[in-house]
Amino acid sequence: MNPGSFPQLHATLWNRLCSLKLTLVTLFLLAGGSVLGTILPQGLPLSDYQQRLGPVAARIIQVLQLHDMYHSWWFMGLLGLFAVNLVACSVHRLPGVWRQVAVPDLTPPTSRLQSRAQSCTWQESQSPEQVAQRLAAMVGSRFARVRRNEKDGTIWLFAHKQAWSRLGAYVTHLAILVILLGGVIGGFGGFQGYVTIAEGQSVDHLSLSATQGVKPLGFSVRCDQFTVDYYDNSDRPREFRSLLTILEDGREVPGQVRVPVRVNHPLQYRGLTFYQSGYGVDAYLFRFSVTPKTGGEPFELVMPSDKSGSLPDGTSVVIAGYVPDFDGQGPAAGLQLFYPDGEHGRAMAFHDPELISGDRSAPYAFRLLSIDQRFYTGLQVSRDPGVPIVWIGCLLLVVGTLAAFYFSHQRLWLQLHSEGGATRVICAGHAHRHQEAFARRFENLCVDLQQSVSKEQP
Amino acid sequence: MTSFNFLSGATSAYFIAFWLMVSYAALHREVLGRIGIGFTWLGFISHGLGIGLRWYESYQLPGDVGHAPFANFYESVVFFGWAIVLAFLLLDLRLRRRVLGVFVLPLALICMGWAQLAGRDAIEPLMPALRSRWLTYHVISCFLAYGAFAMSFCVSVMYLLKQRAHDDGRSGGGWQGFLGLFPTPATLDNINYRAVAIGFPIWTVGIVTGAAWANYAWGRYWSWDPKETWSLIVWFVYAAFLHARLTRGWSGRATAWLAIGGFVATLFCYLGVNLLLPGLHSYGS
Ligand code: HEM
Repeated sequence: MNPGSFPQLHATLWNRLCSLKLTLVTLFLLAGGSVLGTILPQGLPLSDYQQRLGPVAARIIQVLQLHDMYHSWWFMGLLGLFAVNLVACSVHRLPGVWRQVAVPDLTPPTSRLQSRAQSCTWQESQSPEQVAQRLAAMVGSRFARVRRNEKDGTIWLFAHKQAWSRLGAYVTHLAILVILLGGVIGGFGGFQGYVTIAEGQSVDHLSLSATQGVKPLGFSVRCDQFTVDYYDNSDRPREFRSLLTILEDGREVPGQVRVPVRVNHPLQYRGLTFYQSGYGVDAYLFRFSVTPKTGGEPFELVMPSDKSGSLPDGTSVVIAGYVPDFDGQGPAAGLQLFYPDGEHGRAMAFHDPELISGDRSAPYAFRLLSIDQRFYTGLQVSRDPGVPIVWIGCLLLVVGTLAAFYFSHQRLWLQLHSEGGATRVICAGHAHRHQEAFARRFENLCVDLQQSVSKEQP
Repeated sequence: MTSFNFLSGATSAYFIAFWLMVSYAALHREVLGRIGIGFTWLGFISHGLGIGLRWYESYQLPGDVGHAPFANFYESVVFFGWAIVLAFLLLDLRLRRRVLGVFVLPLALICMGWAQLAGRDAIEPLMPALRSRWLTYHVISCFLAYGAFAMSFCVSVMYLLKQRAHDDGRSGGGWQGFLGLFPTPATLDNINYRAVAIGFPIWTVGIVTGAAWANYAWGRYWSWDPKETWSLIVWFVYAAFLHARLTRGWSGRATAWLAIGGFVATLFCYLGVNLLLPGLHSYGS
């Protein structure tokens, strides 16, 4: 490489990065790439693609990481290019735009004024000073605050409004970068996981979605209760609700006891957020009335389907089976009994008190009083330190696009110039958006300005 | 009167308005166009009352099922139609070129017809994830943007028709007279830009409120779900449109085609994703 070409290469590269052509190309590529990701099912194991699409396609999918396209090297690369392009473009253009906003051209030459899309010229018989005072008052009340300058007997008036809307584009660009930053921070500093907690149980770790690993929470979460609320007279769920309690070193944390967590109403604790996301039946709770056949008072036995229960004499009870409806007689449960002497037997428990069966020898008669479900709750757990940054970015994005497209930087210049005892007035205007609407306003304003001066004339 | 009566009334009014617009286009009688726009207003008001009443009715039902009427396919398509007519009437206040109605009203009629033929119009209770204030903000902003994008689509089609006839150099005949009712190509091109420029920030609000809602409901503000992804695609396409137009000086045919592409992407985002792709946003189908 010859020595002169390096700065040149540098400049070419910079120009490329600043070019809007590159912007359009990246926007279209991002759009096209995203389409691909919505058509090709994401997140399946590679073997699935091989089965469905054949080995060649699977190879392509593997190399281009199309099974996790939105995190693939080339999609990330496009986003990176997009960000670099955005920075380069904005850095390249912002100083010029800033100058127009902050240091407007207060004394433009006549030729530049007359070459503006909006301009008009007329004569007044009064002196420039008198005319200037009139016009300044008028423009001040009709348009915006007026700045006055004078040079070699020529007077300039300048007024502009909504100048900040010029910056809207840059706020928008900044917002995009802030959102990307928030995403990156969330990607590196955050994680997503899932836990299931049965009613009455607690957990102190969660399984991570991305790596199938396990992560300790540093505290425990207990599920005190889970309920499904239905719409009246229907089987459509209205609300899922878990009552959660946070425990530090086994002790309940004040203010974090039986906190209701519902869909759309997560619980936050120590940077983690718990979202109600699923549920299921963990076990059935059986309630029996037990009557000793040898005489004595009946008593109640409550036991879950997955554990054994024990009777006062040391007999333990296990639920061997359960049917919701036994020959039209209502629910029934089959029990196995393990006696203290090592023998065992069986018993049936029905809802109907008339029906009692099982081993004749069994020393107890069982009646099934009720069966309740014990639920587990499924909670999505996430930690994302990028979220506040993303929200700031979103706010900037909305403000920026509104400023950029709903407002317009409008400028007005008046030049007053003594010409043979009379005053020649040149009025020019410019709007960076909504030119047609501004053209109409400008015409009206010109007419009003001319009339306001002539009315003053004796 | 129930919401159903108002919505059927709106459909009939749009139907009449459409044929009035067509006869205006054929006969060049200004008065027909004016009556047509009158009927459009009538339909629009009835349509709005229908939606509002449906909202109210849902709160009158037993079982605490009240919610904003944007929850199932029927409600959404009805609201889509309303947003399109809203955008059209706002544009008409400015432009007063009734011939636009020939292009816009069929869209509204398709929405209303589809709602009545294919949608279940029972007020259904919301599933838990949809019970969020963000849903209302999200849907309203998305649909207002849809309305604006629909306008940009219609004027782009008109632009291309007018421009093609100009290039062919044909003249005379009813078709030419019809095209004569169109605004000038420069005006159409400008409306196209304005509609996108108005719709784009609203669409941005729609995406942001959607992300906020997803964050509350699922714990992730963005999960590349097909609906989310398509909303971003739409955003990219219109961002490309705006940059092409504002800073690279594209206009006319190029931006018209870009706007048509944008609206196709919009429609896919609205319907295609639900009908063709799996995801979280399906209307409980
Ligand atoms: C999709 C995301 C983007 C959005 C929503 C966006 C938004 C905007 C807006 C609203 C404007 C104002 C147009 C004007 O004033 O003429 C603008 C201008 C501009 N954008 Fe973007 N932009 C995006 C991406 C980019 C990227 C990636 C670049 C990188 C090169 C870029 C470069 C520019 C430039 C150079 C201008 C002209 C600024 C000026 O006229 O002073 N934009 N953008």
